[in-house]
This record gives sequence, structure tokens and C-alpha cells, in this order.
Amino acid sequence: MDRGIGRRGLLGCMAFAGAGVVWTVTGGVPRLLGSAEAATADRLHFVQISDSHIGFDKDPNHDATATFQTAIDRIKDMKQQPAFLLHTGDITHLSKPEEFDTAAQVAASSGLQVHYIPGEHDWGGDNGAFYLERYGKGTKGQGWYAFDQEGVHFVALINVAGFKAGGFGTLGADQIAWLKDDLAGKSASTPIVVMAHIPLWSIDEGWGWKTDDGDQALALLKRFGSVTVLNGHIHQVIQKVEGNVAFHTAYSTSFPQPAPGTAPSPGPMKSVQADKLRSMLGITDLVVKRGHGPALLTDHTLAEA
Amino acid sequence: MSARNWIFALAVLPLCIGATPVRAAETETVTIDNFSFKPNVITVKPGTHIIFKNQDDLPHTVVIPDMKVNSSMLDTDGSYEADFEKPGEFKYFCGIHPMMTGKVIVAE
Repeated sequence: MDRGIGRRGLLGCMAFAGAGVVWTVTGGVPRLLGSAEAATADRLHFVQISDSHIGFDKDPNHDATATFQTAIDRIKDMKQQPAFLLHTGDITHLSKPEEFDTAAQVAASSGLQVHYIPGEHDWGGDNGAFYLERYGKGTKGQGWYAFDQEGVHFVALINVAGFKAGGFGTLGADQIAWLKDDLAGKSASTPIVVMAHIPLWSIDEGWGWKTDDGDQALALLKRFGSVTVLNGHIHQVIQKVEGNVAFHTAYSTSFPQPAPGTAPSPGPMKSVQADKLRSMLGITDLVVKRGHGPALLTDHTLAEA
Repeated sequence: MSARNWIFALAVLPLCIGATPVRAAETETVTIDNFSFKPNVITVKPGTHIIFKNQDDLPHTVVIPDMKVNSSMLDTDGSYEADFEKPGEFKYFCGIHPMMTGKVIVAE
């Protein structure tokens, strides 16, 4: 099945993206564009939100619901409305039913459909029981699923279940087998968007920012000409392009976490002042061209007008 | 007290007198801070009561597979308590940050 489009090797693009930066991926090489409006009408437009942590109430953000609402309001204010939203996990802080309720109410104010995956904060309280009760209908295994929209194939992976001592994010053999079957009939020209909470690629092993068996999933994706991998978990924007695969981690809407290696632990950046907080939170605007086109990503902070 | 109850009381009295005094359980505390368990390895006597106290800024859990323990999420200042009765080595980890590991050694 591997048609051998293959990787062009690690192209050495790992960038901390600033606000409003737009990348297009062409031939595996990222190129800076002026704005997301560069996309043509023949496209699918959607928005990634992540790590809303409803219930978090400590420094540097004592009201994670308010900043999540700001994120949704930014989306509502977009001149070109997205088709839907993707939430890449840690919807809640402690998996409490009332936290899920609040998150759903705020998200619903967008008037848009939201496709969810869980983060470990949505899963750890009860091994995913309440998350699956709310969002697991129609999904496979421990909540994974796929859907198609406008010729783009979306894959929602769960890598916060089945943690093992000393390990990292885990997909598991069952999910990888399902992914293999799911992708088997797809043309290599089908744009693929993958969402998973913990980065599928290794960012910092000491902080657990890695998926143990992420390479097995990525091996299944490498034959495709346009793959966008959207992760959350690390509360900051980091991008990398490898072959035809663009990796992207999103801002949180609740609190920032430090860059790898810059702090003793990956906990919240408590010292961020209130007037700076929203410049370190944000959303990601995405445009995927139908067919074999480039993926455009624009990160917006909540401080932007 | 009826005669019947007196007979019962006299019957059980020797059992109470002869019982081994209950040893006051020792209590140790393992703190969770900066995404780590401190002390990371702790050696205790059988019967020790251990309090895992989260002093970090994010929630953590305590999973002890050999004791079938899987705590709820412990928010800041939350704690989980367990009695370590049997000798042995009990490895444990945080169920939402599995790179966080620790070990309790229970020995006489």
C-alpha cells in the first residue's frame, strides 16, 4: 500500500511560532505567508482549540472559563466562519461533570459543531468513564474515531488511556490496528488531519511530552501527500515539518506552560502577569485545501483584537 | 446487667486481656511537587500508613498496581492515604503523568 511518496528526511524546521504567523507546507518545506486569507475558495476552514482546563483557578489564571469564552468569542468574530471546531483535549481540569457541563455550554455559544478528544485531565479521574458517556457515542475502542468533511479525512486518536509506569502517551495495538484499517482504502492524495492530545512526536521525554508508539501511527501516514498532526497538552505552539507531515501543538486557552528545558517542571507559568496572560493563550485557525494542497495554520493569541 | 450478660462478659474478658496490644501505626508522608514524588524511594515497616500529599500546581494521581490502587485525581493540597501491610517492593506512578514514578519498600 505504501506508494513511496516517502519522507524527504528531517527538514530541520522546528519553530516556535509567534502570533499571527502563517505557514504553508509545499514540498515538505515550510514557507511563510502573509495571512490566512491566502487560501482559495476551494478549501476547508476549521479551528483548533485546546486545553481549556475548565475548573482551573490558580495562578496565572483564576478564571479558565472566562478565557475559554474569550477564545470562543474570537472565533465568533471571524469574518469567515469555520466549518467546525476541534478540541484537542484537557477540556476539564479534574473530570468533574460540572466542568464538562460548563465547557459544553461555552463551546455551544460558538454555534459550531465541536469534535472532541480527551486529555489526561478528562480521563484520569475515572478512567474515561464520564468522558466516554458524554462523547464516546459512535466511537471505537476507547473513544477513537474518524470522519470525512469536504474531501479531508480526520482521525481522532486517544493517547491518554492505558498509561504505564515510566511511560508516555500511548495509542496501543488495538488503536494502531484500527488506524491501519481506517487508512487502508484512502488515496495518497487525500488530505489527512490527525488529532491527538499528547504530541505524537517527541518534544521532551523528561516532561512526558511524547507518545510511546507514535512512530507506528506516523509510519501509516507517511504515504499521504498532506498530513497535519494537531496536538495539545504542552500549552504552547511548536511546529515541525517532516516529509509531508506538518506537526503542530496549540496554545491553551487556560494557562501557559514553559518551553522545554526552561523550568524545573512543566507546571503552569505562575508568574505571568494578568496583562500578559492572554498574549500566551490562543487558538489555531486552519485551512486545508481539498485534493493535494498545502495546509495553512495561523495561531492567534487571545490578546489580538 | 442480666445474669446472662455477666456470663458473656466473664467469658470474653480473658480474650481481651490476652490480646496483643495494637501497635500504633507509623505514618509517613510522600509529597508530590514539581512533577515528582519525594522521597522517591521510601523504606517503611509493615503496617505503615503513608499519606501521598499533592503540593504541586496541577493534579496528580497515585497508582499502585500491586495493591490495585488507582486514586482519584488529587488537586493541589489533596491527598491519598494507604496502609502498607505486607513486606515487599511496591512501585507506583502518577496515572496522568506516568513518567512520575516512585517506590515503597516495606521491610521489617
